[in-house]
Amino acid sequence: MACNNRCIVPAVGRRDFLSFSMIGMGALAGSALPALGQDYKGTQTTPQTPAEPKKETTKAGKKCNTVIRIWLPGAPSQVETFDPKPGRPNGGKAKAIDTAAKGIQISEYMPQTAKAMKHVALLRSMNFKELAHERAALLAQIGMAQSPFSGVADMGTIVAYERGPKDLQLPYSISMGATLQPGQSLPFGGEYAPYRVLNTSNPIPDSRSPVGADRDLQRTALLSEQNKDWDSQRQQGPIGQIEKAYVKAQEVMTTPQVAAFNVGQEDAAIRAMFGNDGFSQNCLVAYRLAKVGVPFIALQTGFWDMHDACITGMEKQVPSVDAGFGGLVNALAASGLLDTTLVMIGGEFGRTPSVNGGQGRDHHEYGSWAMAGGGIRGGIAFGDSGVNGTSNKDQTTVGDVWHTVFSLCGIDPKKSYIVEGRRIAYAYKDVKGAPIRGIML
Amino acid sequence: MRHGIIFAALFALFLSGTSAFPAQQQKKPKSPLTSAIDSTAGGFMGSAKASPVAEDGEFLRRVMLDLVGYPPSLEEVKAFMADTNVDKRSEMIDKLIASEDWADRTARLFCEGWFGNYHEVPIMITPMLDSGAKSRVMNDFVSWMKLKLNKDAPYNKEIVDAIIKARGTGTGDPAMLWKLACFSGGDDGPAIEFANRISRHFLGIRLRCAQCHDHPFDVWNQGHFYKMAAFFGRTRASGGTDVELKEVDDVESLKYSGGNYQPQFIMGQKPGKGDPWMDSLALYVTMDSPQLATATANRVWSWLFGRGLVHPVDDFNRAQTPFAGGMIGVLAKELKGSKYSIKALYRGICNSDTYQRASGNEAKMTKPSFAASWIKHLDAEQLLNSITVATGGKPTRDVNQAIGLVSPLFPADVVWCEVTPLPGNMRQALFVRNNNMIQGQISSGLGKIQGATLADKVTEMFLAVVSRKPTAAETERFVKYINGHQGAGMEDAYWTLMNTTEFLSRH
Repeated sequence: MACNNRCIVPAVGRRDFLSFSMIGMGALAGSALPALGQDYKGTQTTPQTPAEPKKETTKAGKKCNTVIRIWLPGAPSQVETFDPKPGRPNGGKAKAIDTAAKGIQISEYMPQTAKAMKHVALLRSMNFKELAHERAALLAQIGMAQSPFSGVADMGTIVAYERGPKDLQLPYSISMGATLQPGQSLPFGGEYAPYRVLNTSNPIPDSRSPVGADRDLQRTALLSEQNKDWDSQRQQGPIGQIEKAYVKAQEVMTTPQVAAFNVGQEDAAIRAMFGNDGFSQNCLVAYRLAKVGVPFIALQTGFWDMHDACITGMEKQVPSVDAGFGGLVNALAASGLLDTTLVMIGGEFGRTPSVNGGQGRDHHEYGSWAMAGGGIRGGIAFGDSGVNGTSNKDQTTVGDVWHTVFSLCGIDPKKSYIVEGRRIAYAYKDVKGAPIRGIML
Repeated sequence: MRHGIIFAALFALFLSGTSAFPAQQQKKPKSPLTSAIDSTAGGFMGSAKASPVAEDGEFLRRVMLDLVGYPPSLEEVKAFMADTNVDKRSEMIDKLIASEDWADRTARLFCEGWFGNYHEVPIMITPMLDSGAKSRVMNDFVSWMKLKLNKDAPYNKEIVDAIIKARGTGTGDPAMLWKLACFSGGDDGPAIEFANRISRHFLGIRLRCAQCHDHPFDVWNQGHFYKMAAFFGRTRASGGTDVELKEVDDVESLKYSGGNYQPQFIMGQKPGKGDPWMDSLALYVTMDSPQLATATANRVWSWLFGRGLVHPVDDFNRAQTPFAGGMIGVLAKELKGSKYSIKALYRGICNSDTYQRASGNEAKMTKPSFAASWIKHLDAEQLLNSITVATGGKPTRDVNQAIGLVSPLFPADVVWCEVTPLPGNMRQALFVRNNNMIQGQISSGLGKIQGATLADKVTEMFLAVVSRKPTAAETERFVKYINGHQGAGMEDAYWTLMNTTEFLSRH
């Protein structure tokens, strides 16, 4: 991976880069368990649940309860995806195609997304303040450009904690396609730890007892009895966390919800909406996880830091993203889940409208993200980068997107948690902003 | 009666000056450090009644997990319990600290603090090197740390000093890795990363906060930060199959975001004209600053208690009141007084009643208190070795094996700051509960359990797995279960003990 001078990330290998970009990605879940403050016995961090959050619902009357975040690490070009400039000097070779939304064109590499466009809002004037990969990825995922403490929650942890259904037995937070475990859920307790699926054909290893359910039940009873005495003499944080982990483990072992990972059980009509590659199949799993109520699902695919050969690289890589993302939106819409499920897609920042000597595009402070469902008004291109992609009207920021997500989910961004003695707002100061009303129902 | 014994001992000594008096009657007195720790801790019990000092088994398990990363075997527990030597605890502590395993674990704890998940170090932190050179540089560094710790080299003069001054080629100076790691540090360049790391790792100060704004809780401002960064302005590294780290002499200041900074230590010292910058800085950090001893003592404390007196350990600032009043001062003074002997610090802490207190206590401890032992989650190495040893196997020093097996259970941290362990999670619980390999190990562990009666066997099982004897109620509970489950009862009992919170925590 050659990095030219404009790329300020150190010249590390791909794997290193990915591990940085994954920080904070994908935590998930949970439910608005009652009294999480009281529940958690740890001494170093305590989430706060002050006022009851303002009940905010979408105009459609439904609140978003699942967020699916598709992260494209390295930052893909907007020109070859959501903001084509056909025939312009900087436009590359991608043609623009019409979409289901009148007057909106996107790149020809995204035919499935084009079909779904009446559900999708494009943010074509995203203004990115951070132009280095790791800082930008952190900002998008944990709402801080630099993580000053360990234990800062990412967006997923917060959404999961605030929106998770009480009866969910799967992990509250699930990520797929990531190379490294995502961020920490420390302030919210171990049950909010992000769960990374390494292999979708065995999504939860060791979830069967080696001795069969009956015998397992008997020895588990002995275990409870044995723990009861010993634990009652030891009230410190770690003990309660281990106990909770065992409760969750038992739930996962017996829940029928685990079938969500089995895409073979999905209706043929829905399956046909997705591609066959790994990313599309992960999107199909995400669809099924949303169906059982998992509140936050993080997906990641590709590598998009195309300082060289962006023009050909995008032609090769975008169709896979399109099949997954487009398929996901179409499937959610078909089954009525899209009203309460938000899908968001993007990378760290945009790429230069101009093409460099290596047919690549460098880091750029403007680019496109897209959102669909969960109270988003589809068929909109919000913001405008002008005919050459060099001007930007109706700018939006990463902070605005955070506030939009919180607003759609009915989460009060002013709520906070305490990590290592410091109070951190759900929407930290690095993600100041306001909900983007223009794309909300 | 205790007075009587002491009196008798003194009297005997007075009379003969020989060793005629039986040694086991007289416990060695506490060292000044140990006494000071205990007397300081006395004021920080909260409202709880202090637990007694732990029994032999609980103590041995704790001190072995902490010092060498694995629990005692069945034989070791039995031998230790049977030993009538009154100084057996302090002798055990000495023996553990003298072992290679202590040096190995401690070297790797330092590396975790400095490099994050150090197993990834060959990949993550030395971007300019090819992969062979990365592994070599990393391995050299860990071996070097291990050697220094093993021979109890003064931490300031022989470790920190060498790290700051390191230069030369990768096949030469083994201490180079730490500075090389600054070249991986992200977007701002190595000098910025150097200032961040040197202040956090050796002084326990998050000076980096001052990079963007004046430190919110302290006196540091941007000038302090960039002047520290300036010390690195002459350092250059080249890579490839070998690496060279050197200082150039044609640079007079660090130019950064519009400013122009001369090197100056945060406590005020500056190199004179012609003084080599790195050598000057090494002197300021290791000899002139009291903060090195304070921060180092706090870090070692956190390894033994699971939490620093100042926590996080790299966050000393004026808004932080260290826990337990003068405790941090007691430790730092002793570390300095012992010529920065890490071993003496371990010895002093581990011999204290404060460290050795039983974990059991009915009080609900929502705040740190010295009324009972502090409970920690097992780290990856401790968990894997606990499973191995509890089932009759030998603890492994093969780090890669440990990583491969258990790293998926520990959500990784990419570390900007000190690692904070994650709470126990469902994935770990599933692994210990259901993993087939562990099921197999239980069968082989069971093969080693002997005893004339079922109650004897239950006792052996407790000793093997949780390093203590069962209470009468526990014996009854397990005997009843085993009798009621012919065939699988013993195996289930073993499995049960290996899934208790007692087994899964260091307490």
